[in-house]
Amino acid sequence: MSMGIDDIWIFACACLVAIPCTILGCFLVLRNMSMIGDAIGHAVLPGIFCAYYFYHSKATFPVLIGASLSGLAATFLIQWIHKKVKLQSDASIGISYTLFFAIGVILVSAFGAQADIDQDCILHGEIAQIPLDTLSLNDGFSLGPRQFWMLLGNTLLVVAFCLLGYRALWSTSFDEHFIKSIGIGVLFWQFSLMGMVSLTSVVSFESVGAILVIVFLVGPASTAYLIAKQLNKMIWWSILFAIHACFWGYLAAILFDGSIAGSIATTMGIQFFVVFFFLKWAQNSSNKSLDLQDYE
Amino acid sequence: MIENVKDPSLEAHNLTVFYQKRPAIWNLDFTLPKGKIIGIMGPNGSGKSTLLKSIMGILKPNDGWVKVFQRKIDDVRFKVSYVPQRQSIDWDFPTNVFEVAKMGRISSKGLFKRFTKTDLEIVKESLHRVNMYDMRNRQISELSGGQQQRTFLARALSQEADLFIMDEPFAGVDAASEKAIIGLLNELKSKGKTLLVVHHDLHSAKNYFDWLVLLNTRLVGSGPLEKLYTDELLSETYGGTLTSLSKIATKIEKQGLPIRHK
Amino acid sequence: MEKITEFFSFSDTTILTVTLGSILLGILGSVVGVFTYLRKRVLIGDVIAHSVLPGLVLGFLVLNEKSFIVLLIGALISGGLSSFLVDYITHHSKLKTDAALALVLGVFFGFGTFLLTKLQGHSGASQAGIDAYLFGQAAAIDLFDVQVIGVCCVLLLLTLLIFFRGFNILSFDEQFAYSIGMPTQWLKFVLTSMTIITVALGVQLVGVVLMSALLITPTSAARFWTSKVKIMLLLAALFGAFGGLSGALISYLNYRMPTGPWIVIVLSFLAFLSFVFAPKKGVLFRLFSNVFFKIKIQKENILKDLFLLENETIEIEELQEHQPSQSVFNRWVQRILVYEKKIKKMENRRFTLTALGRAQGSKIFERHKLWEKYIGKYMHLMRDHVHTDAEGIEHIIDEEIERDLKSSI
Ligand SMILES: Nc1ncnc2c1ncn2[C@@H]1O[C@H](COP(=O)(O)OP(=O)(O)OP(=O)(O)O)[C@@H](O)[C@H]1O
Ligand SMILES: [Mg+2]
Repeated sequence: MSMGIDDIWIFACACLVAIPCTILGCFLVLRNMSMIGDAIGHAVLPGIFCAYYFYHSKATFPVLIGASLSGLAATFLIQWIHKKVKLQSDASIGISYTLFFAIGVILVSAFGAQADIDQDCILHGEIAQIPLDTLSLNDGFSLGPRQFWMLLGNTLLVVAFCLLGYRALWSTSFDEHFIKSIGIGVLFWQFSLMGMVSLTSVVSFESVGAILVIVFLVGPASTAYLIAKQLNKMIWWSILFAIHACFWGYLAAILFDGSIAGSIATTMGIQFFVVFFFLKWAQNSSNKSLDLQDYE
Repeated sequence: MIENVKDPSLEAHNLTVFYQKRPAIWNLDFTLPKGKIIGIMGPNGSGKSTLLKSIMGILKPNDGWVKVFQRKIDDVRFKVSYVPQRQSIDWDFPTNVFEVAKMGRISSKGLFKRFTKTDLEIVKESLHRVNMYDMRNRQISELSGGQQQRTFLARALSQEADLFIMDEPFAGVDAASEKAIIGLLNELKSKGKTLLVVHHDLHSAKNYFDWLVLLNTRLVGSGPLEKLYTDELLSETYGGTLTSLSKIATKIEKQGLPIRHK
Repeated sequence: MEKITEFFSFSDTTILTVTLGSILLGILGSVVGVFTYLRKRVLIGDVIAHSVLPGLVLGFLVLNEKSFIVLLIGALISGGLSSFLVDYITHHSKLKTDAALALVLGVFFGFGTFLLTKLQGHSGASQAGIDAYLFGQAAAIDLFDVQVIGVCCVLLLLTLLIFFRGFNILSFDEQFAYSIGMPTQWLKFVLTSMTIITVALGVQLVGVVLMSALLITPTSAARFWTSKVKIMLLLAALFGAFGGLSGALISYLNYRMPTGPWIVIVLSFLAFLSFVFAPKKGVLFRLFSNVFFKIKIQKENILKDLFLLENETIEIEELQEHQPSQSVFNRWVQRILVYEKKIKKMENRRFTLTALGRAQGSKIFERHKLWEKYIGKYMHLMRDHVHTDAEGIEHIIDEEIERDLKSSI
């Protein structure tokens, strides 16, 4: 096992997928919208397919926006079925995303060969191939993988969005009625958040596939939710957890020679349960010591 | 028994709100005085929270309107402070008392402007007034019911409003906190503020309020406490719904709201 | 066309097994889905479906051959573990159900894909078998599988029949079920086990990601046609079977078209048809019922106004104020009334009541008065507001309410 420059690029890309995902994920967890995040992850598939099919080039800006729109469309469909058709909300999530995903799978299996996209790609992305596709200047000076720059751009965008909208995002997550009562619209922020989740799912697709995005969104964020007492600390913790999981996950992937995205997702899960059981244990033992003491 | 006032702090006209097609409040018509502590009373599910939400424009009424200080609510929001029912939010949210109280300043600062020193001073002052300053760094999940309520009050105070609309501030609060809260309400009243308070306990209502609004989907009464606090009216409020009315409500639920023919 | 007749002749046994498998699984999924839907636990099915992946792959890795039974057992174990974990996390931490669902779903799936790549390195040839479970591969269903599916189907449906009443009460009111001494924990366990078995069987057809559609979509569609659980079960089963059949047919007609996703699309299509066209709950019906109700109100208003005019209890100006000018809608309603022989047309665009119309007009006016009296007495409305309220409600009052009102005044 030897580490090379490629490993560093891959690890960096994994982090750049995980960081924006987990920042957005914190808000999803706090708003009880995790499953909608999952639905968006699945629902971007038809959009991405069209992008690949019609443009071949994968990362042009309009393509990204177009593909994110299909994720946003799923959010609207979920809302429509829930509000207008009056179906219970979990069922409307289930119906919408399976429909979008089914369309995506059909497109991929029927025309996938023309679009350079296959089922493996949907499943766990191709993060290992990232270093192969590099950007270089005219004089041949290599700038590193193309995907890296795209992920970096997305990360900066998400960070900027959350910094700018921090007050709006946290206050609408905490007490929507109060924010409405002082005359501020909450719908705009909800849909901007969904839009960012959608864009991030699209950008992350190439690295981790359509389905595993959900672990990147809610895994570290849920772990941080267990321990953090402040939202800003929760976000910091979740970023830390995300990077930590990327590191060990990637290492495990090299060691066992398995899917990198799958391995990172598994690590995020293990990390959650370690923290979960540690907290439970700490709580139990502190309860016991309380029982022993005479507290005043 | 409905008594009207001149120069009202709040006026509702024909106010009707439906959930899906079931009426939650129906045809409320009343005016409320300024500078008083006003109790809104009624059994569970009688539409008290719905009334407050439609006053604040959180719910759009299906019919009728509300005016606050004789203006539309959107023009006077900065003068009105709303304290939601404590159970309406998730107290596991990772934040502390100070941050929650600071939310009150959003009403004047908006979502983007920086909070200044004065803002923070106001928040501190509000926390002092509800006796929560020492606990300002507590995580909100570690608060007792009374402390949660006082945190909400601090947030309302830091809005520096003239009208306070509170949904069950006494629910799940111990005697000491209840006393502290009513003390605060009286202090606000003496400064000329108007307080609209949803309350459950009939017994203490007698000592707390100047004015009562009795609600049971329809309006049973609105007027000064002495006149409203009668066995007849109270038993009408709490005595269940009228059978014909609920039958009509069921039919409306099936058919839809009749469109007023103007 | 030729191919369609060829398909339905089922001359080819592969077609027969695939079609039979699809139909059976369609039925099974929808029937089991009804109870998860009624218990508002739809997404747990989704989680279980994603979570069977590691079980499947592990089962394969251990035995190194594609044995349906072993895969089934692997799927059962990991599906069961996932649903247990969701409950465990939500009970023992402040994490909400929603996040717990998403977390468990994703992590199990991630672990599954990790194992899957191991498998790919492991033995390339056999990998084709397991791939089928990701997005479904109906063609891989063989005769033995159909037999297993058939047996499970019969057993599960029997279980359902036996416990039907229990499941029914459990779904509508768990508290109540508990209070009358039903073994709710046990019933829930049976239901969850049924869901897991169904999922484990179904993933071969539609794949782990789309499996939840088999549970959710036909049931949601059926819900729009009826509120009776038995009929809902039948309808859902019918939808499921139709979906299975169409999926098999489409992929037979074009070999590039995967069966599973097409089943999902057909089912979604049925669901959307139901959402829009179902009587009572459908979007269109609700839209139209509003229109019909508006027509009814307008009709009654015209009759009432003409009645008042005849008795000269109302000034013509006041009437004008009430009547929205000769709008298209109004003219339409007048035409209907003429057709129903309730009013007659006079010269200079005036109308007059027939005997039938007069009787109705007076009745409406009576109800109007009655309601005014009633709210005057009970609702403490101010005098000037009584009238506007009565205007609306008089159209709602029927015989029964009228009797009620009379007795209470
Ligand atoms: N979002 C909603 N959707 C449908 N029905 C609702 C909704 N919110 C409230 N209701 C119904 O409207 C009625 C009035 O509710 P509301 O919350 O205003 O009552 P309340 O007087 O505040 O009761 P409580 O004392 O329990 O707080 C109730 O019958 C309730 O079931
Ligand atoms: Mg309430």
